[in-house]
Amino acid sequence: MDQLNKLLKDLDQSRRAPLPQGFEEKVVNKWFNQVSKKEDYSALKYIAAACLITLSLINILSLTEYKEPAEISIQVTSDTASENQFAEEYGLVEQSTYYSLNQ
Amino acid sequence: MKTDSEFIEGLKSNEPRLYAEFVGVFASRVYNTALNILQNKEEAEEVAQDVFMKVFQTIDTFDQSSTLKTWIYRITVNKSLDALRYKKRAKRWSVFVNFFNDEGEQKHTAVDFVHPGVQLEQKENASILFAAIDKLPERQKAAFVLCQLEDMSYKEAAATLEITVSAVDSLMSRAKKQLREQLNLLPYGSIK
Repeated sequence: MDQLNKLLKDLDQSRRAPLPQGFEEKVVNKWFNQVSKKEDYSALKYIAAACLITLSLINILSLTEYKEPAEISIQVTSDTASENQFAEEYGLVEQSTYYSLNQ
Repeated sequence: MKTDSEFIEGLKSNEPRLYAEFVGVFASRVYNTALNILQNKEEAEEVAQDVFMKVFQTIDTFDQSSTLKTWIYRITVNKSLDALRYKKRAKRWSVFVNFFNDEGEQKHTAVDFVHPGVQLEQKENASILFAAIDKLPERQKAAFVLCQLEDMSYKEAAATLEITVSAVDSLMSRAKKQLREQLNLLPYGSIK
């Protein structure tokens, strides 16, 4: 018998190493810990997504708010214009005062 | 024992009791295959745990084109070879670092693996055999471990390694030739 066959024959009698202590339990626990961590992460993802949506909404709303004063100012201008027109029509123009003062 | 389909369905439906049963059935094979390739108890345990994590994570994508046993062995061999490559890279790097740093400690010692499953009177011979196996190229090593130490048929080994039966035959012939050459180099009386 050659050396390799002799070694293999010797090894054949007992070569299954015993499992490390508590191996099966460790594996199952590791898996379920990973799963619960994954669930935590997915909850965090939902929270982060909700925060992003809220921030975007706030941003959009604030932009709409920003537009409002511009419209008001246009209205004020037009009011002023109509007031001037009214004053001109009824002879209440500032020009007269200016003129009389100069005189 | 449960059939492949029962295990697959059970794992997909997340039954905790079935996970334990599944690990109980395959743990010894997975751990021993990793141990025979890596020749290190701690690394083999880590790889075996990773194998089960991978199986649980990807059970949904398992297409049943091979048996569950073949699939698990394939993952085990791949993970063990990955760990072996990583270990070799780390070893090369440590040699490089130590070359420039005289005070650096040599972290990686020479292989002196004592198989925990081998009886005391055969430990010396087993160490000689495992030292020779460790010097084989990785594909020959994987084929030799599966066929010779895990008692797989060439057909099963071919399915596990995703190669042809004749390729397994060729790998085994080359592995045995190389092992014989290595053993012949030993001084007379080394093998008792």
